[in-house]
Amino acid sequence: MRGHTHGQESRDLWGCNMADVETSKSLTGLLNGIAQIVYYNNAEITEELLKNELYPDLTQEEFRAMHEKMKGLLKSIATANMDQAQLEAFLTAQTRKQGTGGVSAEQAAALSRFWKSHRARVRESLLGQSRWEPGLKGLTWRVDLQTSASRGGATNIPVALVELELGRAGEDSDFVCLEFDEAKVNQVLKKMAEIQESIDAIVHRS
Amino acid sequence: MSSSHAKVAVGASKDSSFLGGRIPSEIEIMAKQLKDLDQEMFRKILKAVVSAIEGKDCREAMKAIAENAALPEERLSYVVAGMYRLLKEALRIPTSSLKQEVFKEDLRELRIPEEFITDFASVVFGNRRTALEAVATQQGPRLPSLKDFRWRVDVAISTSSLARALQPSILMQMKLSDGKAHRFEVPVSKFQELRYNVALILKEMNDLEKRSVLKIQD
Repeated sequence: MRGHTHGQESRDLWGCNMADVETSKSLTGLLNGIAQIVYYNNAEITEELLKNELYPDLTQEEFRAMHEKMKGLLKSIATANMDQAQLEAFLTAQTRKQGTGGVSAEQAAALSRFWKSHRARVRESLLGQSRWEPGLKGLTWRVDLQTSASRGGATNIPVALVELELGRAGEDSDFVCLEFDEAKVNQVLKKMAEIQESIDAIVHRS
Repeated sequence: MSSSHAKVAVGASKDSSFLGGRIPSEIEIMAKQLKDLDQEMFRKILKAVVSAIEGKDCREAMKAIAENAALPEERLSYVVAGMYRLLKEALRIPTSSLKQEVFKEDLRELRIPEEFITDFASVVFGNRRTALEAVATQQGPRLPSLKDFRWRVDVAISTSSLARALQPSILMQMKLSDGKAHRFEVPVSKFQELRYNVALILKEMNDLEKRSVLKIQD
């Protein structure tokens, strides 16, 4: 990594050159840290940790201001789930702002790079915040052949045993065990075909 | 005993009946009681007992029979108890193991009148058999089964965290036979997995039925 150079270095879309990479690294680290706290529920990351690791030379106030600003920008981008075009327009507007409200070219570049790689994951996290019902986490099953029973009954009939795992993120799951005969499995499969049709209709329209 | 007396599932001795080495006492007592019972009465009682095995409420029918002065209550209770036990024992054994002729032969040994043997056989080997087996299956040990299954497809347009969500999701509600209900969300990707697995289960069950090597027969 070369030290600070000036002037004739080639600049990228945001007008950044090699010298700006150093500041970029800290900012990228900060953005990652913000995402960990706000979207990925990582309890190990704290504001203090971020300051000490990334910006040890700033004062508490200076860091807090930077932190809040970046957090706000990230939130705007995330809530709108900006695509490439929207992001560019947004960041360009930010670079044109005067005073402390705006961002520098290299900061804009860091934000752009960050969003490209984290967009899907952040979106998933936000969608999860609006899910209140427990979700289907998984299922396991087996098919048995029932040969006899104490009180009699039909013999040599296949019986399916299914275990559904239901729960919310971060909570213990519920395990629901059911049994099905062939007729019931057929019924359920038919309903699933109906569900699929319904989904296809929606996806097609959007 | 003649060589046509085939070996049955119960008991090692070739002389034992489908009822086992020792005939249950209520059946022996019933056999004695059947001696001078008229067939019409016998059939009425048999009908009520079969109803009871099917899980239906037969109190009215039994009351009507009991009120018939021709039959003392004690005798009626012996006949009912014996019939119930006899049928239950016979229905427990799959038809592949207990053949009609053997069944009839075993009942002849108990000195049950021939016309009653025919009536018993028509219950055990007739077309009512499937319904009776279905009830017995219901009563056996089982895990809860699915009684009701409803679903809904939602599309989240916008949420408090996401201005433009446009995310389809499936909401399912299951009511089980033990009374419990479960409501849960299924993301579209998980739904594909669920559907695939259900189809696989059905295929496995179909294949199992086709595999004749697994048809356990005596």
